[in-house]
Amino acid sequence: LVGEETVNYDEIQSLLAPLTPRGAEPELRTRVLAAVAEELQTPQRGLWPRAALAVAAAIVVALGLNLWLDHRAEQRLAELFGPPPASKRATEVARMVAEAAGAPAGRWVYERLTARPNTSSDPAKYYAVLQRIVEETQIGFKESGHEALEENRPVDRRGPRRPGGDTSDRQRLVRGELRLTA
Amino acid sequence: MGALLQERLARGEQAAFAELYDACADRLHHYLLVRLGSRTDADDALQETFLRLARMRERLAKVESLEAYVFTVARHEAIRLAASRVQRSRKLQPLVGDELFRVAPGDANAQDTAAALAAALGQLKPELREIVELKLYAGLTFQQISQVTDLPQGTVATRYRTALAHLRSWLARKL
Repeated sequence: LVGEETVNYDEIQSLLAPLTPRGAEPELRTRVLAAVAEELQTPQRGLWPRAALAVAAAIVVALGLNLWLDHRAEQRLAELFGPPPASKRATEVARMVAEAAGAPAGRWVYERLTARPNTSSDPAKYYAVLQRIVEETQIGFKESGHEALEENRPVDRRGPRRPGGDTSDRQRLVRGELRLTA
Repeated sequence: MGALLQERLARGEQAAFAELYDACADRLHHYLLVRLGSRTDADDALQETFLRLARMRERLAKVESLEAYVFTVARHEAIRLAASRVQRSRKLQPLVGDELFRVAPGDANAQDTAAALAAALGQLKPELREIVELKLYAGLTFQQISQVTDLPQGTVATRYRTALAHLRSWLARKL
């Protein structure tokens, strides 16, 4: 019996083992093997090629969106402020490059020199954003008063003297709050 | 079930899958029936098991024990199906003798024995019953059961002995 030292396992096994389990119905064989045959007809779909395709598609979409947004921002700026003014100095440098290395190189240099930094179009808004950042990052270093040095009462000097450098007559007073945590 | 069958399965030979079905479908179905408690669910899980094996056939050439691997896949399918059934909150009746075992229609004595043993198996905890099913009716070794259930071999052996002791105790009280 359960909990007894000796249990005759053979006895119970000999009772259970002769029973024949009821298996699957014969019709199931046809159904399963037909489904397997259909599955074997379809080419093996590896996981990696699909994952790689998905990643590649996501990158292409992201790049496309980025370019489109960039283009839209440029268009909006041009609508608001008109085309960027040509810098005289940039024009001169570009002309010199074009003379030395050809027109495409000159155009490229001109574009690089006249590229506008990506800042807000509204100066008031830009100033407000800057101010908010400064306020958020500002940390107040006010005197908290949590720590202060407090000198002990004068010690009776008539007793034996302490060795040099002994600071045991001073103590750091910490006013910590006792908070119970969960 | 040898290495040759595994290679044929990995190549996707339909006849090899038929051979595998004939070799272990009955045992698998019985195991799935015990785990799921319904013949319809056991049928579905068996089909899903073979479909999954066909889908990942290339791996079959490399597995250590094909029998253990097939039972592992079936076990996962049973767990998946049982989880979806919990979501549908279906209640099942316990399995009786002739649902679990083949008994000659006229043999009343055999029918009584099957009914008593089915009832005795039914009162075991699922984790103990699974080991008894895999050992006695699926014919797996303790090592293979250890692979299927992801338990240490010693635990499997201990659970098997505990289950037999419980069964003996239960039968002694009831018969």
